[in-house]
Amino acid sequence: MTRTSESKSDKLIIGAGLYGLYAALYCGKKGQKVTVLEIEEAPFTRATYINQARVHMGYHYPRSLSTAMKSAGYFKRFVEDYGFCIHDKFQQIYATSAHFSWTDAQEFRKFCKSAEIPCMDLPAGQYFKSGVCDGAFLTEEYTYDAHILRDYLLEEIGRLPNVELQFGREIHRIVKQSDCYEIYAHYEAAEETYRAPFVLNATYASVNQVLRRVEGIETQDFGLKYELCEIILCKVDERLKGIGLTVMDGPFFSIMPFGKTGYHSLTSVTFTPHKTSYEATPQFPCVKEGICSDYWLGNCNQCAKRPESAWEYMSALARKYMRDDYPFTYESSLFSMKPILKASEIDDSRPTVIKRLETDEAAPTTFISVLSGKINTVYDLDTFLDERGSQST
Amino acid sequence: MAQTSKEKNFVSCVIYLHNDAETVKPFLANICQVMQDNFEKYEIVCVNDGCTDNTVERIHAFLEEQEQLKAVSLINLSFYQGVETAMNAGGDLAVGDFLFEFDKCSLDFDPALIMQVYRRALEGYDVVSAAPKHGVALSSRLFYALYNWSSHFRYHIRQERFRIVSRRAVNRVNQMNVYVPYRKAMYMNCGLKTDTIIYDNSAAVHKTRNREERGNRSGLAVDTLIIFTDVLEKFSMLVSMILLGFLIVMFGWIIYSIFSTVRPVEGWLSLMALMSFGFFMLSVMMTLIFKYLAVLLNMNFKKQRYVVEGVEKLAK
Repeated sequence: MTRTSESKSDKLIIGAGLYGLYAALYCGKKGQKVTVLEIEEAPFTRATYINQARVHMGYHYPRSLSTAMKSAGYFKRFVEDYGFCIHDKFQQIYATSAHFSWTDAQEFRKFCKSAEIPCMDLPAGQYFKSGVCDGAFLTEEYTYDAHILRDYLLEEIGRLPNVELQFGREIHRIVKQSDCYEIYAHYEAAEETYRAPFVLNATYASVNQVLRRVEGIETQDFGLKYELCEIILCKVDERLKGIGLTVMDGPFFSIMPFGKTGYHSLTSVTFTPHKTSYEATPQFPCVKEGICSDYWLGNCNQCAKRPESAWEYMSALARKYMRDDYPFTYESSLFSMKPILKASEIDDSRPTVIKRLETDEAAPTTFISVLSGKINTVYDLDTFLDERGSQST
Repeated sequence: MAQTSKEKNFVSCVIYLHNDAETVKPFLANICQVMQDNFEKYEIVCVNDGCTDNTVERIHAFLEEQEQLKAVSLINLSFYQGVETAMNAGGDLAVGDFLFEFDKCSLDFDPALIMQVYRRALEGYDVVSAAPKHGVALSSRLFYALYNWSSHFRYHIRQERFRIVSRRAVNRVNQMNVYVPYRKAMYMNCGLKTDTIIYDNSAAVHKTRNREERGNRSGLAVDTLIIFTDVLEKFSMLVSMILLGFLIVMFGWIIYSIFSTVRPVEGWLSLMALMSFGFFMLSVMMTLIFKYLAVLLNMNFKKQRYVVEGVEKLAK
C-alpha cells in the first residue's frame, strides 16, 4: 500500500549540503516557505563534510587569477559570517615544488601580489627536505569545521517554522508545469509530491542526474567528469599541529588541520582521486556492488565497496617532501564523489557555475542548478535566490 | 610466495623508454610480476623520452590487461632528452623508500636478480647496481677505464643495467648538486656504501643503440670526465709540458745559432712554424677552458633539468 502526500512551497531545494542549507536559511529568513529534499538521513554527509575543509583565499589557483581574486573577496565575508566554525590558529604554509610544478617561487610571489593576498617568504628548509621545494610562504588561509557549521545552520533553520527539511527522499521525477515544478519523491513506502515555482538543484555530484529527471523543459548537462576521492585523516603531534602544508602546483600533496577536529587532512593530487568517470553522470564499476540505488549514488563514505586506502602512497609522497621531524600517522579515511568541470583542466580554475533552465527571464517558474567546489563562494547564490523572493512574500 | 612475507618497503620502479615498442610489454610484465609477488606497495614510473614508435600505445595495451596493478604513471617528455635527463625526471616523480632505476628496457637478466639486488641493499648498501658481464661496447669500456683511472673516488663505475637507490642516497645527491649530469657517478660518490652485482648475460647479448643515443652518450662522457675526474688537468698539463719541450728546443737552437757561423734566413720559417704551433696549442687550451666553464655554468645555474609535456596517471 502506498500513501501519498502533497505539499506546496515557495522554494524547493534539492540537497542538504552547505549550498542547500544556506539557500534555505537565506530564503527562510525572508519568510518564504522553503522545503529541502535530501536523499541522506542527515545534512552535510557528503562533499560539504568530506573535503579539505579549506576556506580558500585563492592561493590554490596560481593559474587562474580570476578564481583567486573571487575567493579572496568571499574569504573575508565568510570568515566574518561564520567565524565560529573556523580554525585560524595555525600557520598555513604554501610551498612550490622544485620539480614538476607548474609554478615556481618567483611566479607564486608575483601571483600573490597581483591577487592582493598576503604572502611572506619562509625558509623552505624549515619544513621540507633539502632541494624538494624552491620556496615556502606563510599565507593566510583557514579551515572550517563542517559539523559546527551544520549544527549552526540546523539551529538557525530550526527557528524558522516556514523551512522544512525532508530527509531520506529519493526523487524520481521532476515535472515542469506552467506555473510550478512538481517533484515526485519516494519516502519509505510513501509517494510524495512537492510543488514550487522555484527549484534549486544544489546536489553537487548529482547535479546532472537531477537534471536528467526533469521533464517538460529541455535540460543540458554540465560538462563534468567525476572523481571518487579519498581524504585521509591523520594524527599529528604538537609540532605539526599548528602548521598546514600545501605543496603546489602539480602532482603534490597537502596536509592541514581538518576543521576543529584536531586531525590533519592528507590529500594528494595523484592519489586522492581513486577512480574517474568521464561520463555525464557518474558511472563506476562499484556502483552495482555497493549501496547505490538504481539511479542515485549512495554515500561512498559509508559503502563497503569503497576503495582501499591510498595511505601508503599519499604518506610516501608527503614524507618525500616533509622533514622527518614532522611525523603523522593514519587515523581514518573519508570518501566522497567530486565532480570536476571539464573546462577547468588547463587553467585549473574552479568557477561557480549557476545555470537556469528557463531562458525567459519573466517565466513564472525557475529551475536553477549550482555547481561550485568551494564553500566560501556560496554567496554567488544570493542574486539568484532574490529573483523570486519579492513575488512570493 | 605467501601474502604475509611481502616486503613492507614502498618501492618505485623508474623505467626508461625510448622507442622500445618491441620490448616494453614483456619488460613491464616481468617487472610488475616481481613487484606484485614481493612488495605490498609499489609504483611504476615510465619515462617516455620522446618515443616516436608505438611504445606508449603498448603500455596502455598492457595496462588494459592488468587487473591488479596499483599505481603506474607515465612521464611524457616533450622531446628526446637522453637517458640521464629522463631518469632524473622519473626519479623526481617517484615517491618510494627505494627506487629501482631501469636505464634500459631490455630484459637480459633473470627477473629474480631484482630481488637479489633489493636484498643486498637491505644489507646496508644505499646503492646496488646490476651490471652485465658481456656486451659492453669498446667505447664504453674505454670511457670507464679512463674514468676509473683519473677519478679519486672510492668506488669504480662500470656499465649497469639497473640499480636500486635508497631514498637517503637520492636526498644526498639532490643536496649535493643542483644539476645531476650523470647519476651513476653521483651515486658512487655520494659517500654512502654502494655495491655492484655482476650477472651473466651471455645468453642475451645484443647491441642496439641508435645513433642519436650514441651522440648523446659521447657528449655525456666528455661532461662526466670533465666534472668527475682530473683528466682535463692531466691533459692540459701534458700540453703544457709539450709546449715547454718545444720552448727548450727552441731556446737551444737560438743558443746554437749564436755560436754557429751559419746565419740562415730560413730561421724565420722555423720560428714562424713554432709560433703557429704554439698558438694552436693555446687555442686547444682555451677550448678546454671554455668547456670547463660551460659545465660549471650548467651545474650552478641551470634550474630546469628537463622539459616535461605532462604526467599521466595510468592505473591505480
